[in-house]
Amino acid sequence: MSKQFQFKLVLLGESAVGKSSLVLRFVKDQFDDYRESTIGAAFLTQTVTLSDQTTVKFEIWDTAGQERYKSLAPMYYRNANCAVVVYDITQSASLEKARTWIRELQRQADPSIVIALCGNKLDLSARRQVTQEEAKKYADEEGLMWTETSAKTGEGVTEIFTAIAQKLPLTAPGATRAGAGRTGGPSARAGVDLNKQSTTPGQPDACNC
Amino acid sequence: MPAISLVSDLLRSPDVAKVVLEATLVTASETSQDLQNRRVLAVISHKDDWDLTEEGSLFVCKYKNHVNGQLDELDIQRVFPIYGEFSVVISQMRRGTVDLRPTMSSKSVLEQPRAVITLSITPSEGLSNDVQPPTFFTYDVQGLKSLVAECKRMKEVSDVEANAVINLAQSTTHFSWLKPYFAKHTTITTLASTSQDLREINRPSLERLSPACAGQTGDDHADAQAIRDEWVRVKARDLSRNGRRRLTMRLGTFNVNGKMPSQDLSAWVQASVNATSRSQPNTVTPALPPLKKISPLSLGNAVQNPFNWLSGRSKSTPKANITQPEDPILRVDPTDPDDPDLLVFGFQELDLSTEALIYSTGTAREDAWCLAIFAALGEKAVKYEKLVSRQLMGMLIVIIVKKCLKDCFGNIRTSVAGAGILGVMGNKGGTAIRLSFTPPAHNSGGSSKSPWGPTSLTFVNAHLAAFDEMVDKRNSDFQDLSKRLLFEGIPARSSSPAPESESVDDSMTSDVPPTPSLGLTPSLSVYETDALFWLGDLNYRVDVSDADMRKILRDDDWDNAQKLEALLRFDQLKKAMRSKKAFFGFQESPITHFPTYRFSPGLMMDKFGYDYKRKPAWTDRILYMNSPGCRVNQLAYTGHPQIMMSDHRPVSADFSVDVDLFDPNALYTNVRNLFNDVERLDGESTHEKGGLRVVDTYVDFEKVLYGVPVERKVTVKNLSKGPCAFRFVPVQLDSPIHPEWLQIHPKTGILLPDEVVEISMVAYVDNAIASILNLRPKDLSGTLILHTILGKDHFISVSGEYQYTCFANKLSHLNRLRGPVREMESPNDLLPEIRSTNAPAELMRLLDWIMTNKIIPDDLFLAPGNDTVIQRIQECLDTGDDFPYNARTPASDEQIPRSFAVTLVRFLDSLLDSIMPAHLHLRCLEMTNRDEAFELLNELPPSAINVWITVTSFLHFICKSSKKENQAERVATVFAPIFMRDDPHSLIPPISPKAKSKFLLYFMG
Ligand SMILES: Nc1nc2c(ncn2[C@@H]2O[C@H](COP(=O)(O)OP(=O)(O)OP(=O)(O)O)[C@@H](O)[C@H]2O)c(=O)[nH]1
Ligand SMILES: [Mg+2]
Repeated sequence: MSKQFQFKLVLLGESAVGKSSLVLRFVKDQFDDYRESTIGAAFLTQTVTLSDQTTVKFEIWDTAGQERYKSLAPMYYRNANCAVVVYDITQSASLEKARTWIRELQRQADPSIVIALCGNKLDLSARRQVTQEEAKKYADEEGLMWTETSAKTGEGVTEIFTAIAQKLPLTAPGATRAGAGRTGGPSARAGVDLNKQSTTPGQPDACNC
Repeated sequence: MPAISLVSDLLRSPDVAKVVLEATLVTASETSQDLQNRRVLAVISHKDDWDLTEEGSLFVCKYKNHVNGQLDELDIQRVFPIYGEFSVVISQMRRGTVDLRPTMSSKSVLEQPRAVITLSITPSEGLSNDVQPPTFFTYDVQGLKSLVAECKRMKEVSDVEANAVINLAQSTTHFSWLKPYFAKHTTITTLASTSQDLREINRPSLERLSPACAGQTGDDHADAQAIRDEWVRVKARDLSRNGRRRLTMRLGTFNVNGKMPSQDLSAWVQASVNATSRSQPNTVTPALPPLKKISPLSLGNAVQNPFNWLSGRSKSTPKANITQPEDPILRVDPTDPDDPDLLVFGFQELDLSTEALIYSTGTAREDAWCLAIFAALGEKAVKYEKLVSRQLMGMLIVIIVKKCLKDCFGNIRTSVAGAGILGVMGNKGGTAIRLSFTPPAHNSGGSSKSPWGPTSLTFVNAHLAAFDEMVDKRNSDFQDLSKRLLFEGIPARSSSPAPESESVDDSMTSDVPPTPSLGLTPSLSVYETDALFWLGDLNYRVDVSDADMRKILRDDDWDNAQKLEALLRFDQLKKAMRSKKAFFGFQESPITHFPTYRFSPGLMMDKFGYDYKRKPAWTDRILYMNSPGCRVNQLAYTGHPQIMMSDHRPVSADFSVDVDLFDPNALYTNVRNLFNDVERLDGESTHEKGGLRVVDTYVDFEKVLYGVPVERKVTVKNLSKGPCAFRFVPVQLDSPIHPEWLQIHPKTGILLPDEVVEISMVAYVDNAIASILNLRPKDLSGTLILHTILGKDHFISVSGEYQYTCFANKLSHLNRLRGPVREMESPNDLLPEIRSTNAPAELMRLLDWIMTNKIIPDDLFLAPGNDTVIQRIQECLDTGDDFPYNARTPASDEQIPRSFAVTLVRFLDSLLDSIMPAHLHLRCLEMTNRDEAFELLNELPPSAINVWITVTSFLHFICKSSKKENQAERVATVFAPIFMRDDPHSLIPPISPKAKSKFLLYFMG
């Protein structure tokens, strides 16, 4: 029988970098040219199946990027197993913002959290302000996964979520879905016993998918 | 659409419909074969995941009512698991026995068959003796044959052991797949019944939901159901109500101490329900101290619920808004509105003999007391008759009703529970009666059957553990009785079914929705009712010393209302209610009578007749609890000291109960239709459906002023194709959902597709909130989180700038202000300590204006001012602006100086410092002259001394210039409770208001 795992994933990043668009692409394979800025937080789920038939269910929290709601972000990334910090490759300021988020996660979030840095809007590479070298170098230094995506074309989107699923410690004893009965919102602690996992956080392991 | 696909629409995968048959329910009454009786019978097969086992069930489905007559949806009416004794019996219908008018459709007229065959279904668990199996007839002989064959096959594949009976509601193995099919019907039946637990129903809606906060959704599925059920219940009730009728009753409790009646009981027994005043034959005249009229406390009361205040909506406690002027409520017995419709008397210690503890001692005593009651009714006695009584040892409860209403009462059930030694034997416990009241038909000529549904009333008569120190035992006795006083289930299909617990979907007993439990309706607790009245010798005492108790009761320095108020703060029952240890959620009217215990007929008694050996107490009480739909209003609550045959005095209470006129069939239909609207609330996540849209995500209250409510509306729309539910959640689990200065309504709700709701948000700062905000930065911004059940969190930013005020502030702050309080940048923006002034500038401005003013009305401080003027004065104090009222050119309007006076009182009353701390009050009593009194002031902090001296010498001046006599005494009664505030947490009773005035007069006089 195949194994099942469940993880809590949070998306962070400046407003308008494309967090909601990435989730929409990943969950529904759709794209919207005119998306409204998120004023709140949305909870969605999506499952990925790995090559070894293991299924990983993500409980995704898409957060609000606007500065005004920054103080609420910790409520949504607490207990997260993984975070996707998004920047817009056409806006160098958005990478700066991503760095602040990553610093905050490293300080405040669960120490074993898996962080992926994601440069979005790859389809607009003509207007690129953030070079791949710069971003990758930063990611390597900080031990983050890194990739570039386009929510518009779909390029790299499934891949980054799959890469995260692979990176998450699936062998940890607590990782299987606890009570299959409850299908409501995310449980406070999605599943992984973070103390018992073997991979140490901060280990450089960038994925270039 | 063919019936088979309609049935398939109802099924969950992997279930399939094997055979489908159209048939008509045979009803006992001679009704035509209208749509109401058309049914679709279907044999459903369920296989497990591995296709190893199969189970079958026969579904009875009914067409949903559609206005346009289209039959495109079915409801499952009943499910019969196929095993055991299940059988379908077929017989040929004899001509002449059935009305063959085929009215279904013109098509079926043409195809009118020759043969009409009936089929009767015997359920698997068998039939009880007096129940007819549901019977249908059909023309479709071929279909019937296949149905029977399939049922037979299903019975063969069933592996339920012989003689076993499966409880569908509880089974986790056999037929557990059927649960979702009948769950809906059970829910609808429950929602349409009136037996909801009052404790649950009266809890604020948010408290009934699962704990949740930002990023941590609770149990959304359970919450969806809770919100849905409440929405359906309230809405259906509102839709089904055809007005209300008022039932009146007198309740009484009397611990008779084993005595036989020897005195006229009419004071206790007879009530005039039109009596508006509470102070009946009582020695107590409730008098409010003059302060209440003008103090900020009364301001607080007026706007306690800003929603009521702003919109005139009545949504607070059902008790508060009992009289709706717009719809005068008719009495259930309009011919005789002066006398109560129902009399309920609880006795304790009816019989103190030892035999009475062990076995029932006959009804001699009960008869004697009932005789005394009827004697006390005098000429009215002929109108009444005893309906029911129940006795347990010394506890007896008797219900007497007006003869003309007797038929309105039904479903009478009684219960007893002992709470004494071993919980069974002893002299403590309770007896209870539950009955339903069905309002008589309009223009009732007497015999016509009432079209209305019943309202259930429950009465408990209890006798709890005695002695001062046994308060924990009393609390646990109460909890114990709450659990153990149960009204046993009655047979679900007895000849007189409980109308409120039976479904009225079909008047046919043979076609009721499935009852998952067999045989009996569940037993009911005393809380599963529309209104509960709990009376008795509850034995709660007063936690003050015996000496204090007697001294205050007899002390002429208090008026009676003040005495009772001061002492009742220490009442153990009130304390138990506050700490939720007992009687939580019950209401009790204010007590305006003296303690009812203990009186001694001999010599050993004090001036009031209270026994020297027992501290007087309010042991005999009457409390109640009601559902929001059943409005209860208490008209009187009285002790009867003139009835002296026992060591207790009897207590009575008059109530009016407004019962709904509702058609039970309409209620059931409304519940079902509303439920269908919101059924899929907890279905797929609302992301799929679009969800809610919060139109206003930013709400600015701008300047938030003390005492001035500001309302903003937030519009929320439902953009999805299905219903959406929402609830507010806090940022953290243990934090409130909104800041204290803000109130939100509603906090939970449901929106149907395209529905728009306005959420009202009111910023309001009273003294309590100002005392917090005055010490905080003035920026009020924050975020509210509106959580869509199974969907998004929406953020609503609220902002505002708090305007600091001198009200509800600290002397130490006010004395160190750089300028007007409004100009403070932050609460720490103060002068250094050494530069602090002697008294607040605001206080001096008020005194100054009144002193300069040429007219000093005689009722200054004693009469209310004008609210607009007061508000303007307050604002000028805070801003430092000049008062727009010139003191030197006296206006003819005396309202202005009065308003200044009121503002002064409010200012002093709102100060966070207590000028003369409560722990010094007893010393104040000892002072015998002016010099000693001044001496005592040295114990106060310097800032308090300054305020004391400044204000008292000002009052001295004002009162001296009054032409009236005793002006100082009168004004002192206003200022004494402000300068000498009681400590609400103190364990000793306060000193008397007169003593406070006396002390104050050393300075003012
Ligand atoms: N060309 C292009 N546009 C994109 C891409 N991803 C998002 N956008 C657009 O960028 C805008 C913002 O996208 P959102 O997904 O709403 O951004 P967000 O990060 O969720 O923003 P907030 O909710 O305010 O935090 C939208 O107009 C999207 O259509 C992309 O990969 N390529
Ligand atoms: Mg977004």
